[in-house]
Formats: sequence, structure tokens, C-alpha cells
Amino acid sequence: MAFLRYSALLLGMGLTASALAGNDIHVTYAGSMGKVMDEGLGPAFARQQNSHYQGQGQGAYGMARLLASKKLTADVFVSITPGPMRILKQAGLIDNAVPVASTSMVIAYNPKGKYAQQFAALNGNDSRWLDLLATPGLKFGRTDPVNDPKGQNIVFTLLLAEKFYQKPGMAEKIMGGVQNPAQVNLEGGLLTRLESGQVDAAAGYESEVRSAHLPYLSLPDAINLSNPAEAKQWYDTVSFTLKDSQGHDKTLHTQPLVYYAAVLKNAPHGEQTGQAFIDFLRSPQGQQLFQQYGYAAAKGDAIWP
Amino acid sequence: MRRPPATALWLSLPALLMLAVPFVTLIGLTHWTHFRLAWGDSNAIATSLVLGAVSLMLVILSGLPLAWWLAQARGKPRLVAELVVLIPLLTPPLAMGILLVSAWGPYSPAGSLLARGGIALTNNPAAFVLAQWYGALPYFVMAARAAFADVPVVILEAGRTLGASPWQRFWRLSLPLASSGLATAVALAWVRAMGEFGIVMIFAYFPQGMPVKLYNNLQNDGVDAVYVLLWLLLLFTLPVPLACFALTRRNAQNRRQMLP
Repeated sequence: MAFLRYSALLLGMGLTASALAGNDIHVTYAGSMGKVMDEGLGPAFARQQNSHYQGQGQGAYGMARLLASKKLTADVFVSITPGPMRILKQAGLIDNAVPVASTSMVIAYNPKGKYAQQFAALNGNDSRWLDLLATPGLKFGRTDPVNDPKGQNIVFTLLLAEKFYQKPGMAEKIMGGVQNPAQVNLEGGLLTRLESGQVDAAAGYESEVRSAHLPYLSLPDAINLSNPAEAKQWYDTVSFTLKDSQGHDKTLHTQPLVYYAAVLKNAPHGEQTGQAFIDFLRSPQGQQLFQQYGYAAAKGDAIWP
Repeated sequence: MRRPPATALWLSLPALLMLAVPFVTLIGLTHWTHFRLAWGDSNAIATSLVLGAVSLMLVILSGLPLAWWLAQARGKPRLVAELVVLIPLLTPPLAMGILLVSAWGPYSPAGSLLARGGIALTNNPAAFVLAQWYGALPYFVMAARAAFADVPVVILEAGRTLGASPWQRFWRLSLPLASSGLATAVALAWVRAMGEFGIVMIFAYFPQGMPVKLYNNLQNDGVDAVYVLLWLLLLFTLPVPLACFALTRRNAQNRRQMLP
């Protein structure tokens, strides 16, 4: 008898949950956006709509592939650079993706590290920061270019910097190989190392570094990958190669550091709900929240004209 | 040999079915005609197996004495040791990885000491082995301790009365009598070391074993590449626990035959 009663209770809970799901929203996003999504935009949207927000962050490409293979469903996907969106477009899950924010590459440093004072005295106007990063013994951290757009972007930034300041060979000197195990970590591992003071400096997006309240060095537009206007003329002059899954070389090019959002066609809570969330991201209130968490304004147009 | 009652089998079915569902699904999902490794998969398999074997040795060597002592110790010292084993057991692997970075990183006290000797524990084989060691040791100690605890005290007492040294009691009495349970402990440690992802992803991203490669395959090629590597992971890692279970059964049989 008790068993029956509990079953009925459980069943009731399930029914209630699905009834409430009508005005829920499930948002998937690139891992680095955790703070602004789960603490800023998500709760604000939920309050405005009197609904329930659920956010899920992960490496942007992995998330895009899980969505594309329908192993995961969501109403909205928000990601940096057009790359992950292309995967969803190919899978026929989105029509277009619109810019909602932007950011730039910066060099974050450990405020208690032995190079902190030297970093604080520098700016990106001359090449001294490159020399400092190349100091023997300095521990520099970055994410993996094999699976993370940010890991690719720091390689581009260093390649652009050696051209911009006319210091050939400097990028290689700092990196010691594109996938140098002494520097490369997964996102979480790098953050842990930076915050626990086990690296002296790390490549990051201005948005996440500011969200984490870490000191950082800003870089000029010519190398920080933030300006879509520089893309064709200047950013595209650098590239590098990585092995693909068959072991062949594939050449990578820069992509603007713009955050895009798209509604998924198989949105479990309806495309309208998804669109409402994206409208909110682009509204003055949404943009102000982005800014509060260190993001810059949306730049450029939708990915597909 | 006596058969277990049929009712037990029927009652086992829900558990068996639940456990089998994802893998029956996996059989259906795998593209058998396009079954091929992604670039670097074979490296990942070799890394996991070779470094995993090293970790397993270290786990056994360091864990056996602790488990044996724990099985016999009494009072406060035992409580303290139990806590020292239980705390890492309860710590989620991700948090464990974060702690290891702080404890063994190049600017930590331990790390700077090692650095003076020219040793670094950052994304290298030593760091990978250390991560698996931390992951598997508490499981091994818990299981091995239970195995030692099953050895009748009277036998050890008899050994002592007959003048056997602690080493002889361990080597000649406890170890053989507990071997079935110890085999299970070894199997558990191996499984834990092979599947270790949480600690590794934070503390030792390189060299990349199978779990990290599964993650990268998902990022770069999607779920199909995950299925292929998962099959190989199962193929290469199953023999160790299967061998351990076979050993357990053989021991059980021998003991039954020895009984009057």
C-alpha cells in the first residue's frame, strides 16, 4: 500500500515537472560563459518571464556536436566564433546565428606571482610583453588548440604579434610547439593553475578574465582578434596547421571573437521561447549584463546573410 | 556444485537489464562498416595500458601494507588512518585534481622541492601515474582491507603462537587466505585507474590516455569517434578484471576441495 502511495507521489511529481516545463528554458553555451549565463543573464531572464532557467556549459565544439547528433536538446545555443554554429547549420538545426557580444584576447597574470610587477608595468603598445613571456622559467598556460577555439586564438595572437612588432620566431619561442604539454591544459585545469598560482601567466578572453577578477594585459586591436573589420586584411594573414582525425594536416584561420546565439529547431520548449531569450540577450538590459561581466558589445552581422 | 535458487536469478534481472541497456544501445549505434580509429587513438590506448600498469603496481605496493594494518589495527590510530583513506575516496575526482594542482604544482612547497631535483609534475607521465595512483589507491585499500578482515583471527594467532614473524604471517597466511578478495581489489583498482578522467583532466592532461582522448574525439569528430574508442577501451581493459575473477573462482574451488 505504501509502495503504491509513493509511486503515485513520484508520478505526480513527474507530471508537475512536465506541466511546469511549458515556460522553462534550457540554454547551452560555450564553457567560458558560465558566470555571465548562470549568474547574470539566465536568472534575469527567468525573473522577467517568470520562468525557470537551466544552463549547461561545455567546450563549444563538443556541445555543438552533442546537439547536432541530437544526444542533447536545448532551446538556445550560445557560443564564441562562428565555428561551432557551422556544425549546427550543417545538421540542419539552425537557420542563422546572431551576434550577442564580443571579446578580445588578453594575457592574464598571477597577481601574487614573481612576474606580477613586471606585467603590471607593461602595456600592449610595445613588444616588451613578448620578451617577458619568453623569459626562461616563466610558466605560461593556454588551452588546447586541438579542441578549444581559445587555444587556437592565442596561437593566432602570438603569430600576429610577431608580425606586428616585427619579431620573427617569437611565437615559437614562447609556445615551444603548438601543443606543448608544459603549457597546454583543459579549460578547468588552466583556470585551477592560474587561480592557485601554479602558472605565472595565461591566455584568456577579456570577458572571462574580468569575470574572474584577475589582472590582465590588454593587447592592441591588431592582435587581439576582436575587430571583424581587421579580419580580411590583416588577421587572415596568419594560419597554422593541426592534425585532423585521419592524421592529415588541416590549416586553421582566425575567426572573429564574437559571441553568437541561435534558436534550435528542435527546441523542447518551443522556438518562441528560444527567440525570446535571444531577444533578451540583445536588449539594453541584456547588453548591460554582458558589460557588467566584462563582455564588449556585439559586433558585425548574423553569420549567414 | 550447488546452483543458486531460480528466484535469485529472476530478482537479478532488473539490475542486469538496467546495466545492459546502454551497451545494447552502443551495439546498435556503432557504425560497424566504418569502424576505424581516429588519429592518436592507438597512442591513447598504449598510454593508458602502459602507465596504468605502472600505477597499478604502485597502488598494490603502497596499498597492501596499509590494508593489512587497517584490518588488524584498533583504536585511535585506526580511526585516523580510516579518515585519511576515506576523505580522498569521497572527494569528487574533479576536486581531487584541483587539490593535486595546488599540492604538487611547480610553485607549491612540494613542487618546488621536486623542482630542485629536476622533477616536474606537470602534464608528463609521472603526473599521469600520480593522478591514477590517487584515483585508485583508496578503492584498493578499502577492498583489500575487507579481504584481510575475512581471514580468521585464530589462524593468525596460531601462526603467532607457532613463532611466525609478522612478515611470515602476512606472506604465508594473510595473503593466500585473502587472495580472492585481493583479486577483486586489484580488479577494482585497475578499472578505477583506466577510467580516471576527473583528476587527469585537471592535473595531467598530457600524456593523453583513453578517457581524455574520448573527450577530444567528441570535441573534434563527434560521438561516432567516441563509440569506436569506447569499444577498444572495453576490449583492452576487460582482461585484467576477468583474470582476477577467474583467480577468485579457482581459489574458492580449491578451498572447497580442501574441506573434509
